[in-house]
Amino acid sequence: MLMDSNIPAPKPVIKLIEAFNRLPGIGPKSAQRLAYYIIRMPKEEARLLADAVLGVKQTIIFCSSCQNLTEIDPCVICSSSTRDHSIICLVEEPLDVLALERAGFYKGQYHVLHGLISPINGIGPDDLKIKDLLFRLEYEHISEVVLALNPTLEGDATAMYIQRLLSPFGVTTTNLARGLPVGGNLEYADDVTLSRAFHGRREL
Amino acid sequence: MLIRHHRTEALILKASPYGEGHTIVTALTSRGAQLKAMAYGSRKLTSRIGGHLTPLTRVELALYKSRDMATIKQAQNLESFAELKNNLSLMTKAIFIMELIEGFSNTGVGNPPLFDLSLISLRQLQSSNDKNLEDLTVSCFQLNLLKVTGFMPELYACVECRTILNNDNYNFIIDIGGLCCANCLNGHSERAINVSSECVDILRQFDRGVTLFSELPLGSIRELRSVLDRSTGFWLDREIRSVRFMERMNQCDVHEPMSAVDMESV
Repeated sequence: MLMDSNIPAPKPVIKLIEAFNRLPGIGPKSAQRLAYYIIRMPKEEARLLADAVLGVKQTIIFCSSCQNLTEIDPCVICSSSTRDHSIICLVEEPLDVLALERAGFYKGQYHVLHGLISPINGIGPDDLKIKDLLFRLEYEHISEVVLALNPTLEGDATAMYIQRLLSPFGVTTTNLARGLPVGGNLEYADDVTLSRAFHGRREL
Repeated sequence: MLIRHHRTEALILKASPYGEGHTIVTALTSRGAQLKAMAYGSRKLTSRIGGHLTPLTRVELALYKSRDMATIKQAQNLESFAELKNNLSLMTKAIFIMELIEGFSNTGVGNPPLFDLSLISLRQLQSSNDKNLEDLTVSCFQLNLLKVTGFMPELYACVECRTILNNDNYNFIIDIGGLCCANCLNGHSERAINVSSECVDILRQFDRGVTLFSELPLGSIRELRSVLDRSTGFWLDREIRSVRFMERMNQCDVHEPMSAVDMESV
């Protein structure tokens, strides 16, 4: 029970506060504020919000191929004939697909892992969509897998683990370049970033 | 007068994403106390401190202590343990060590030997060139962790009657604090772990500070790990989450270096 049953508020309001309180990053005070904001909202706006929440739950599914969120299966990217089907870009979250698509330079396929291996948080390979990736490699003609994972300890652990799994398939495995960000400052770069930037230097 | 700005050397244990581009950093300070601090904007690409705050890094931090959580204003990398980060097997073991440090350290209460032990163990793990040596380093860390945090098991005499033990087979009972002789076993026999004299001998050598061993049988190393994993898990009073992945890596038994840097050159 999230709310004190002695609080003098109608049951539907308490139910709404409890529902908001279950969302990530929303504490009891924020939940109360959001609930009372919705109460003050025009009926039509509240209905639109409720429809949007229900709509997402009823229509959004995982693409059976890339595991990205989609309305149709396979998703638009997987079913597109104009994209390169021999290259897969491996990302952590659906939001990473959006970031890469926004940049607009990549024309291959994606595979969304829905997380990273994080031993300290008890997240192992079985909690991610790794088996689906291996299934794709088995049955599709893939020549390259690009590991576009975050440069964190978890990202590196996942990349190294997946690279180990991919080696028997004979596909080229590449990793995104690591180094200094655009607008960054050499003076403030850490040792690992500097060393990777230095190793990945290019002739001008 | 309250000192709001201060500097400390620390080992970063955990970095949890918070809000839009912020991170809550958990670290072990050089005083051996656990520190939780907020690093605002550290996940943004142009952050000046983000790269220095990755777990498994020894850093110098400049902190501002506000009413709630401290804020990290500056960070300077002192030791990055690159070899541990570039090898999956070593990284897994280092993560296990860090989870134990996080579990056994306290906020506010300092324990300087814990900081020294953590750095020595990570450096030793980094220089390990053999899987058995890696496992021994982790076991040695576990026993010394119990020692510096006040949970050292009794390894020389029976915990009940204080008789000096010198047998071939020993009974190890975690919750009563170590080895128990056959005469005092009544009432504890269900919880007793039968350990070999080789295993007890290695534990005693760890206690005396010996860390270099010649060839050790695989069975002894496994026995040692089992006893120490159960002991640390019992005193921590929660599941050690990284064990599962570490065991999985051990089963794979592949030791070739697989580094993120190597992958860039593929």
